[in-house]
Amino acid sequence: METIHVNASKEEIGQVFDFVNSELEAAGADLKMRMKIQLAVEEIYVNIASYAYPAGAQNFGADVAVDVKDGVARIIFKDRGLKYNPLEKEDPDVTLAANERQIGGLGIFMVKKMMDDVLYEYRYEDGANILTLIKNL
Amino acid sequence: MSEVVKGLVNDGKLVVELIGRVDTSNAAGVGDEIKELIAGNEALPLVLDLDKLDYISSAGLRVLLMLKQMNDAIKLVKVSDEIYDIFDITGFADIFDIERK
Repeated sequence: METIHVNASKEEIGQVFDFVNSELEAAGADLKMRMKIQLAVEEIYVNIASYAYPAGAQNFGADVAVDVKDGVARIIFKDRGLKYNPLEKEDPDVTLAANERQIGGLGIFMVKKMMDDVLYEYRYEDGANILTLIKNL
Repeated sequence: MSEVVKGLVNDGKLVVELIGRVDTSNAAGVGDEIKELIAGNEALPLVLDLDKLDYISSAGLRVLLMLKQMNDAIKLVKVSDEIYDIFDITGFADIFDIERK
């Protein structure tokens, strides 16, 4: 399993993309697969960069790890910011007309739909949010 | 204009081409550029040409929804299977007038 550490800023998203992409490419994931995973990675990473560390709070950054085993990719995000489980967010109503549509929650909904499984765990011993994206390649 | 947005008036329509990626890093700018193109062409139907769009995240979908709310007569054309999948799962395929590749 390979891991990178970033400062949890939006500016570093390119670095996260490059890392995840090259790991998946090395594991033989095709372009379409890498796109789907990239979408999920963007949503999760932007959430962390936007909300994990409020202004003035200490920023411990984020770790992103990629593990591919037996044809299953796991992308694991770890931050030590505010305890937050994005999976608890209510799914948006995707049947509403355009003028009634609310855009909030759409990102995490896309993540759930794009991935085969998404797991969240809060680890109390070091105060870490751990979110794992799972996709069968 | 960035390299992502290209606009022209063709056959009485405002055609805006999106090229490459619309994601968190550029979505706000892309939205502003399209709004600038619309200014002065409000009466024209809006066509978004997605032939060369490789990637759109929820930040990009927000831009599309804003455009739809501004101008209901918006059409998305040359939509690839991959991009259509994203529209499908988010229900955007039901909201927008879409012409697939």
